[in-house]
Formats: sequence, structure tokens, C-alpha cells
Amino acid sequence: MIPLTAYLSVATLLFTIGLIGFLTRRNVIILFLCVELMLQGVALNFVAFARYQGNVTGQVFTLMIFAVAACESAIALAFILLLYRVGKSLNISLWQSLREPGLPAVSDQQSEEVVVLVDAMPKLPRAGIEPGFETEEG
Amino acid sequence: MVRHSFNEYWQFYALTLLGVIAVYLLLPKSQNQKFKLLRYGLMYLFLASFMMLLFTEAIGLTIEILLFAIFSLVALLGAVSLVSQANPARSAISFTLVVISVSGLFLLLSAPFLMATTIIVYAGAIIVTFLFVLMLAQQSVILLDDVQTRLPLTATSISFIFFLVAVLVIHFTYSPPQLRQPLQAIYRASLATSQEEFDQIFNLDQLNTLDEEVSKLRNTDASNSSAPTFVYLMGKECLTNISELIDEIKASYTSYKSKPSEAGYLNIKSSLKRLACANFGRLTTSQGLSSPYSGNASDMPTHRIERDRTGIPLSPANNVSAIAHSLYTDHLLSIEIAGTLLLIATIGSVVISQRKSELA
Repeated sequence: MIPLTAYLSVATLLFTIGLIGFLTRRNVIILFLCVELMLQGVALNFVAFARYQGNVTGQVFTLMIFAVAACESAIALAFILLLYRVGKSLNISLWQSLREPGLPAVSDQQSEEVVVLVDAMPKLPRAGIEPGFETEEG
Repeated sequence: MVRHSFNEYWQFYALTLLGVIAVYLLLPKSQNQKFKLLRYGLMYLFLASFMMLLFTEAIGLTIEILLFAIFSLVALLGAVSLVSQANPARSAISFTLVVISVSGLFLLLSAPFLMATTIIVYAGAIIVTFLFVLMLAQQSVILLDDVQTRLPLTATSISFIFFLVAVLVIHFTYSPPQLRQPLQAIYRASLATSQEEFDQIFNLDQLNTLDEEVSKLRNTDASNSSAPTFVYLMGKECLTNISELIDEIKASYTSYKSKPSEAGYLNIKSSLKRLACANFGRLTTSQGLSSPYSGNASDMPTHRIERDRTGIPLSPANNVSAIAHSLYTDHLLSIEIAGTLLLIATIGSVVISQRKSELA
């Protein structure tokens, strides 16, 4: 049998990685994905405890977590869309004006080096029959 | 005085250090990244050694352990890839990988309903919505924001310190190092398939060794900071329960020795299994609030729980109806609250995403 500690450790590591992402990344959408990742770790904890106690209370609690996570993502995505409409960027640092009064602004150090901008879209190979565009000769 | 059990856990310190280095090197950076193979190799090394550490005490490689290893490795790899991808769309896809393998772990924990719910709600609904928003806020290039990270080394170190503390507490609490070897011997004896084999493997010395260790732990002063870490953290209530069970087994074993019988052998074997698989977490002393519909009460000591052949507790049969019973008896109010919350969230998101001109 798998010891309870194994499940708990895996859940802890999932939570930790989510925490790292939440603290370091600046894209709002990635921040929310990291929160969901931490929630997955917590849910795994609950289910493991329920299994090793022989009841379903932990599973019921996990269902509640899912309900709250669904609400959270609905509201969060609405906010993200709203903020993107205003600021044209997903960078969380643009919304520092929402911080508590009296706190200094966080300034991320901008590196002086030239940043290589890579194409974000995948390059698909050409395939299929080329649609017959009307050319000038035709 | 250095607690000897802390020295025993030097592997966890090494693991934490390796984790900090591996994750830090994988985080996106604005410079051109070299040594890609080395950085990924470090991450694989970290995950592999993490897995090895979890199973220092396991007996043999079973299908269950293999499946557990596969699912958790894929989940952790997906998590690391989520954090380290510069492209948000790829992060969302990695999260799907995490969700699917975590639902595999749910299946191993005999929670098929939750597995289905996770796949439908997360992989089906939430991820698709995330991708949809990503498409709306489309970027044709990877922006500077996405390849730069805020205080990467500090954040990684702090998070991994949390990891170290949590994992150490988990190991002290649920498998105290002093009791591990005697419990292992008893677990092996409880796996015996026939009476002859059992008589061969098991003898009273194993119980006595365990009894000695338990009473050694019980006799230490818990308020003293040099007490064994387990006692220091968890107190002694569960040890009292455990030694009661040991005395019971000793009594029934002596009567079994004087008059061997099939029933006596089976009885002792199941008691040994309950002893070997008991978790040592702090017991809740308050009365459990849940009804029998939810399975074992949460204040039930783990060494009293009935267990199957391999030592895992018997769960309520028919997972879906068990959850339904529990939801509509013990957790009725929670359902109502969850429903209200979902309704409020629906209204809220509609209101928030309206444009100003539409509001007037």
C-alpha cells in the first residue's frame, strides 16, 4: 500500500510550485492558473485524508473547493477582460494603483539587453489543396 | 542536544536545495537561455529523487505504486512546465496535464466521482474559458513581461523552505522515525497468507520491540524542547491508544499460542494490520459531527479502523451514492451555500464584463 505521507508530499510539492509561480510571474492569467494549481494540491490532500480515514467527508469538501474555484475563475476572467480592455496588457504591475494607500510602488527592474521577441503562434506545415484564389490573369 | 531524528532527514535538506536550483534555473529569463539539457536534467533528477524518498519503506513494486509514480510525476512535470513557460497558452495546456494526472491520483484514492468532476469542471470548463480569454487578449509575440520574473531566487527559496517544513512535519507526524522499523516488521507479518507462514514470520519479540519504543516515547517529557520531535509536535494521546492495542494483541497472541486456531490467527492478523497501518496524526478529541452516512467518524482513532488485505481502510462502497448520502444529510447547508455562491458569481461576472455604454 502507498503510505499517506506519499500523497501528502506530492500535494505539498504541487502547492509549492504553484506558490513559486504566483510569486514570480506577472501575467495575470498565469497567476490565476497558479492559484488553481495550489487548489489542486489542497484537493489532493483532502481526498487522501478521506481515503485513509475511510469516509467521504474530504471528498465532499473537495466538491466545495471546486464550486468555489469555478466562481473564482468566472469572476477573475471577467475582471481580466475588463482590465485588458482598459490597459491593453495582461501585466499585473499595471494595476498597482489598486494597492493599499501608503505603500511604495513596486518597480520591476527592466533589463537593458535587447529582448528577443519570439513568435508566439505555432508554425503549421503547409498541407491540403491550396484554395483557388482568383489571380489577375484569370 | 541535537534531536537525532533531524539528522535522519538530511535527504530532505538536499532535496530542497536541489529543488531550489532546478526550479530557479527553469524559470523564464530575458537572456538567451543556454544549457537547456542540463536545466531539464536537473529538474528530472529532482523529481526522481523526490519519488525515491517517498518510497524508502515500501515493500516491492506493485501496480499501485507504479501508477502512483507515473501520475504524480506527470502532474509535477506539468506543474513545473506551467510555471516555466513564457507563452501563457502553453501554460494553460500544461495545467490540463496536471488536472488529468491529479484525477488519476483521485482514482487511485478510490474517488471516481471526483475524478469525473475534475476532468469535466477543470479540463472541460475552466481551461477552455482561460484559453478563450487568452485568445481575446491575443498577443502575437511573447512580451517582455512574460520572460521576466519578479525576484525569482527569493521567491523560489521561500517557497521551498515552506515545502521543507511541511514535508518534515508530515513525516514526523504520520510515520515517526523511531517506530518505523518495528512497524515495518509487523506489517510484513500481517501480510502472511497462511497460518504456517504467519507462525514462522511472527514472534512476540517484534511486538515487544515496538512496545519498548512506544513506551520510551511515552515516558519522555513532552514540554521539554529536547524531547523526540514526534512527541514534541504531536503529544502522547495517540501513543496511549497504540499501546492499548499492543497489550490487546499480546493477550490474544498468548491465548492463540496455547491453543492455535484458524479464527485466532485471522483475528490477530487483522489486529496487526490495524496496528501497522495506523496513522499517528493528532486525534480530534471533539465529537465527530458526521453521521454514519459519511463513513467512519473523523474522531475515530486510525488504529480502530477496519482495513482490507493490504492495509487500506474500507471506504463506503459505491462512491457516488455515498457522496450523495453525505451531501444531503451532513452537508445540506454547504450545498445551499455553494449554490448561492455560484448564482452570485454568475450575476457578478455578467455585471463586471458589461461595457460602460451598455450600463447607461
